[in-house]
Amino acid sequence: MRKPPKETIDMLLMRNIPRELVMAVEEALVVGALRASEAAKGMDAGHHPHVLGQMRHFHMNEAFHTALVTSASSTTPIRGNSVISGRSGLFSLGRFNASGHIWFNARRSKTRQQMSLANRAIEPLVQPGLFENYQEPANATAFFVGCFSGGIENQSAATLSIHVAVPDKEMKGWLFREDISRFLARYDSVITVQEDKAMPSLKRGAIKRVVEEN
Amino acid sequence: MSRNGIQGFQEDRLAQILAVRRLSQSQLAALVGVSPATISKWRAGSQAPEREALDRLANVLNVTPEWFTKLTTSKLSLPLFRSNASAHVSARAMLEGRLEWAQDLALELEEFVDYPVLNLPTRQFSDPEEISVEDIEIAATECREMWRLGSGVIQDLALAVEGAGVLLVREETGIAQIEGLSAWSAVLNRPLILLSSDKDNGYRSRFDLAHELGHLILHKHIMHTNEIQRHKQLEQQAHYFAGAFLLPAETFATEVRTPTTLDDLLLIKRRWGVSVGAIIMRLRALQIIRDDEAQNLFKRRSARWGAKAEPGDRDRVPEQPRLLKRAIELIVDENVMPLETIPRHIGFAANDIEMLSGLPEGYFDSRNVIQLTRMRRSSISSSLNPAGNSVLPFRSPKS
Repeated sequence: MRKPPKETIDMLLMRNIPRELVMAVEEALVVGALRASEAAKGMDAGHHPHVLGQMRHFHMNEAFHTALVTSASSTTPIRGNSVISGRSGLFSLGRFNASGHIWFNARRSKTRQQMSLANRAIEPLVQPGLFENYQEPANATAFFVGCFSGGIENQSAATLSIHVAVPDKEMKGWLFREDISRFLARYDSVITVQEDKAMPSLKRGAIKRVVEEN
Repeated sequence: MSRNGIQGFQEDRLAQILAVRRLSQSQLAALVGVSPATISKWRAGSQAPEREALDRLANVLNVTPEWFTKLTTSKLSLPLFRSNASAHVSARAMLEGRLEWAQDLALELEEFVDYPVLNLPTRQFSDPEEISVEDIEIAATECREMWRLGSGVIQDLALAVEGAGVLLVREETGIAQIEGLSAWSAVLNRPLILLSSDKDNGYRSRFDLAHELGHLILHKHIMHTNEIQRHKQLEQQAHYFAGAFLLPAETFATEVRTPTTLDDLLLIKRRWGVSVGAIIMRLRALQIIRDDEAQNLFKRRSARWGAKAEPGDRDRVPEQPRLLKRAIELIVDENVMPLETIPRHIGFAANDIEMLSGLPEGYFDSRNVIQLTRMRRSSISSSLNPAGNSVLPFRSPKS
């Protein structure tokens, strides 16, 4: 029987995505949402939810793009409705917004579905196969998900929460999903046990010397 | 020198132990049963005590007679004290002497053991004016990197400090106003830190240790002085270092909600092991809060908790030194030297070695150990000098 892999998805994410990039994306999505809210102010009540949704898409995309340009590589340009993505280590990174905790929006984009196919290679980390041997993949995909609660007409300007999420290959389930603050705390707790180096060592010949002296 | 005086009596030892025991010459004369003038001559080196007098001297001072014939080791670098108040002159001399004893103990043990390799960032500042806030932040980060502590909470700072080859002593000193001191030893080629355990506050003690670490790294090549402004500047820099080292900007700042409350800070205190007062100072240094906000927090802190204590101060057990203790245990466990002969070999009383090394009280107790007498409180209180100065025993004797 094959041994299950020791690596976990969160370890893979932390090894490939620097903490600085995660923090940059967090800031980008929060600020993007606030900019959208400002931009939608003054619109007719009948238009407002629609405008706010559109503005969030554009402003959060732009802020996300800036974060990727400064901290990731291979960032796709801003063009129409195209998904913005960038690369960090073996991960392709994208984003989308969702309402509450049920993320219906996730599969609406063909590009996101296409990106998620790469995660076939990391599924054994969650569900080790009997015959498949896990090998570190060359590609995987993670998304940053901005969550807003309730109906769009009652929502506050800021995101309710932001999640780091790794979909399965069909984007029907999540191999990993965690609030970004909790995920960031993982970087701090990597060193869980402090090394004990306060150890003296016996000098060579110390015992012999004392015996001779006596 | 007296014809009958013992050979090789080291007058510097007498001066050192008078400071450590905080005794005046006249008090010691009364305890030994000689005139103050005789003590003065011994101290000046113009006369040495005879065998019987030396035995009495060693007996009342709790050391072996042979200890007075050991050459004094080279002086430590001049330590920086938190308080330069003239009221603490004798207290500072006592602490300095105590640190010299720690050096002597470490040197004796080094005959048999090797300590961890010294691993501290080096800086060549010769004037505090050269040191910027950025320099201090960089030094604190470099120290964390060298010790592989990451950027999160430091679990046990004492362990990390000793693992880097710094010798640490934590003992009751009877002087709560001076929380700690540190100095570089040329003979050991490493620094020593002495922390006062009198306040029994794990949060304060951690910060005090980080503060001394700051002095050792930043101020190694700076001439120490009693000039008030310069002394204050050195203290502020060591304080800033302690904050930067214990609470790194990149991780600590993300955990603080603004505007913040004292109760938010209490949670952070528990997690990071740093007092609310020190956290407020760090928040101000990082410009997360403004000066007026910091002042407001300090006001509310005083109003709610008073000026001297914070909730949860007793929650954290103070971190304990291990290195000297482990060195002695290693020598005993490996049968390098029998337990009971160690105090005589070093020349200190068993309880002094126990205190300096952090060994439990009574560690050396055995039927073979020659018990040196301890000064009784009654004999001390009866030896008050006319000036009214009272002798403070270094530690309360066992009842």
